[in-house]
Amino acid sequence: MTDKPDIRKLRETVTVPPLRNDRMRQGLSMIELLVGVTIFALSMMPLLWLGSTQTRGAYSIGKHMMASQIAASFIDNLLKLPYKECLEKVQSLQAQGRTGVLENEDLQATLQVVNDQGIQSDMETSFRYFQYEFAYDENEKDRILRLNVEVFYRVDEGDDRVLASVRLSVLKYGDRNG
Amino acid sequence: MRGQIKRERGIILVMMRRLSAKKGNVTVILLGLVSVMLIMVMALSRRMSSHTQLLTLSDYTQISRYFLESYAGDVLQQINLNVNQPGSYLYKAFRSPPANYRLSTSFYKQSGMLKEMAEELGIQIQSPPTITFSGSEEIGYPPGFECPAHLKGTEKKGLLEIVCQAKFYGRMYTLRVQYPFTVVMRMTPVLKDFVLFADSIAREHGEDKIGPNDNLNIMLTRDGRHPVDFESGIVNHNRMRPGNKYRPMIMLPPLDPVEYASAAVSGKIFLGPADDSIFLNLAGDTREEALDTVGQAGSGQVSASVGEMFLVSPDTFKVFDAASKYQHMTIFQKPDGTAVRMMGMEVPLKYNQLAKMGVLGFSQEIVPQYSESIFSGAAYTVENFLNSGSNASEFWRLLKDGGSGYGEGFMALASGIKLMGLKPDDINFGHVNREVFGNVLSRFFVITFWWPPSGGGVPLKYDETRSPGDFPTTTVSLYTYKFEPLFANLRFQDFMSRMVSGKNWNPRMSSIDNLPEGFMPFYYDPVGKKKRILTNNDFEAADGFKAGDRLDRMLRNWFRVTSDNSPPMNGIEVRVGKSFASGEEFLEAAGVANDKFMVNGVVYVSGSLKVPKLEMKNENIGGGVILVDGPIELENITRGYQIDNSNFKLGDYGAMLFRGPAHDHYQKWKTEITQENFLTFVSLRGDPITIRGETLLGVHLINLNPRQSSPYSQITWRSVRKEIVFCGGIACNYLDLPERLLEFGQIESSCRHLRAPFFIYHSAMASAEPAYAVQLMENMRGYMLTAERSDGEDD
Repeated sequence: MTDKPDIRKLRETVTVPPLRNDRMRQGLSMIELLVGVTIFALSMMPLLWLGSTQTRGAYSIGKHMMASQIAASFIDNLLKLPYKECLEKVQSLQAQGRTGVLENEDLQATLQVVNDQGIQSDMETSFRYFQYEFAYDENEKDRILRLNVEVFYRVDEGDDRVLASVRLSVLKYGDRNG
Repeated sequence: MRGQIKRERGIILVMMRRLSAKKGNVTVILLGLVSVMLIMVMALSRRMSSHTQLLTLSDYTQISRYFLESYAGDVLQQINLNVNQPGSYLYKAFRSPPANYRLSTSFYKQSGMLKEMAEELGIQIQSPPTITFSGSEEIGYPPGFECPAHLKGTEKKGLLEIVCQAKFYGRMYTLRVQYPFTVVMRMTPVLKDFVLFADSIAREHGEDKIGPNDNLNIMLTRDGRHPVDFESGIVNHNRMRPGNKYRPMIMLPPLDPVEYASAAVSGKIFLGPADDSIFLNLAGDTREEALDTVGQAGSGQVSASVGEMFLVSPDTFKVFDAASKYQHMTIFQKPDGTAVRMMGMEVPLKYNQLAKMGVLGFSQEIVPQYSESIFSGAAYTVENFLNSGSNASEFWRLLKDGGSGYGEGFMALASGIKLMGLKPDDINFGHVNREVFGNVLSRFFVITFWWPPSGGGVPLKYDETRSPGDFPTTTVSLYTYKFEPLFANLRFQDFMSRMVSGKNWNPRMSSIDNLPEGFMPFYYDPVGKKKRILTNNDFEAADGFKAGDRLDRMLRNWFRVTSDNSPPMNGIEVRVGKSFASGEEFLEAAGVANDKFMVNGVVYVSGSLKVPKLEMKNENIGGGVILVDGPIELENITRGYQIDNSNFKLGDYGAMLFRGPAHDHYQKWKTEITQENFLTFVSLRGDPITIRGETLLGVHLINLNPRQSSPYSQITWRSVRKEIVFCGGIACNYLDLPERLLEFGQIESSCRHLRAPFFIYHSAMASAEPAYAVQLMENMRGYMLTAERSDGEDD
């Protein structure tokens, strides 16, 4: 009998997994649980932060790419116009100031032509918070027109204070009637 | 049991040793977790960073792409600026034979805006760009256009390759782009040699080619004039209304003596189609003698005659020899002793007998019903000469036949279009050396009167069926005289009175080489010294082009707008350099707002085109062809020349063409307007070309794709009140002559001699060396953008 260890004492000191045939109390104490959960939570927090950051990053990359594409398409649309028409168009676009992408006449016209509810609603969702702003500069003598377009998007969809943008510039040449 | 307890104790001891708090087990676990997290963070961070890098690269590429396109555009704009400037390096380079080689870039200077943009974006431009010709090949021609060897390959198409480089954030971006270009003639080959090309004008003749539906021979003529007012009671024509004013369309000969004598530069004429015949009534003037006297010019009162009998050369008749000269003579006498005089010649017969052969043009004086007719009070009627019924010639029957004819009043109507201008005021000079293509025949009358020695006279009546050797006889006082020609080979038909070209000859039934007797072609060949019909086989342009097919078919093919399924014609379509969505867009690009009109090639304009007054100087006009898919309206094109349309006139009688205000103006235009700045306006689908200005200088108007098969107005003059001065060429299917003459009639004549608009050919159109324009298209091909790390640069 004297050889038998005092299991009760032992269990007070450490958490011991229950033995198969242990008739003593099995499971974890509240403290043990709390400590475990705390440690787990602490370890999960950076992971969650990382996940969230990555999600935001991916979202932002997506938005950036979309902004880049829409800026390029705005520029390409202007480039294909004859010089005078291009000048008139960019003048009117500049006068509009910063405008929602979905309000763009060309985009609306395209959507009307496509006439697909799915695409329309997808566009409305995707470009909900996108804005664009045009600027130009002209050298009348040489008939060179500089077109600048900047497309803005929200870094955080719910926060309209932090905006990122994509800016593109190109030169449009008119015929100098040489 | 004991054993089991032992084992358990052992395990707990082991556990106690490993998990003892004193030994820092929790710390170890935490550290382990933190390490794992750090590794994860690093991995994720790296991944994020590569995402960001990719994104940045994408942005840089986008920015570089637009920058390099701007750079290439800058180069292209400067090429465009130089390439059509005579004397520039690029002007010569593009016009050299097709070859692939690298061009010098000495002409190129970066524009200020490109530099600014580069600085702002932090891009380093790599200069100079590389410009290379690649893949040049000659442009062909539609069937029939026979290009001379020395011009082969001068019209060509190819690709101009521009390579631009720029350094941006450690990467070298290279844009290689190809722009198609063409080198094309500024004017239409073959057609530019014509002052007038009307390829379906025969349809305006009507079925009978004479009478009320003949809309070519419509100009009332009297006393060597075309009275402005179309008087009632003379003739009943379907389109010519009594009370209206009309003036003829006269294609003036060159106002330069050298050009006047040169068939190459005097402006050719084609009246078609090639398989139909056109009969032009030559205007008559029985007062020819008085006006032939040059010395009368001093009075200042003499007006030029519109009579066209100068076109009837003596060699038209077998009974005369080439050296014969016309004279104003009495052909026969009326019972009251007055002489019936006209231009003609005496025909010597055997036994010192004489016949007199007079030539009469269409004029009111020969209409029997006219009180002042030459037949009025005569013992002979027109039928005594021209016969009647089935024995008369076809056209004469249509006028006279049994009361059902159209009426002799049509003998007063001469052609509304004059191809050789006015009667030359210097009869020794001959008429203009101008080639007339097509089956164009002159229609006029020959009146032959035999004067037997004993007095009296016998008209030689038209009789085609009479035996050739059956000459008339006359008996006076029991003595019978016989008409006997001097030469045995002459037949009765060579002498008889007749309407020359008095039958409707159908060229489809017999070739022009077998033109039946009794017809006189309009064109006189000064080399062969005979009248003959010119076909495409006789055509040779001043630049060497020949016509291997019917002229009407060739030129229609040239301007044909092909559908998707039809084979390309190698005509004007393949030569189009730029297309404009509207007339306004074209005018903007041509630089009208900047007082320029630079076409420089072949351009297509969709829709209508209203060209405002073009009063800029020649150097600010870049010649070319403007194809308009809609109606065209033209205002004055004066090219900076000051022209008083109210006082634009020929010289005094005796020197009408080679002196005077018109001549002086032309001498300036002749040298200053060249093919480099000649303007060609083409109505592609037969829409009308409306002219609202009096003066058009250096202009070629073309409307060769009819909207309908029946004649209609293709080129019209509207709202024009001052004298028309037109220097260039006209090509159309129909003139719709009654309408044109009515339009011309609304204008007060500025010249006493030429009571008609001034239609003058410009000899630059027939230059031996055609002018070319280079057209660079903006649609890029072979686009390739590459990026590579610059030397010594890391990401």
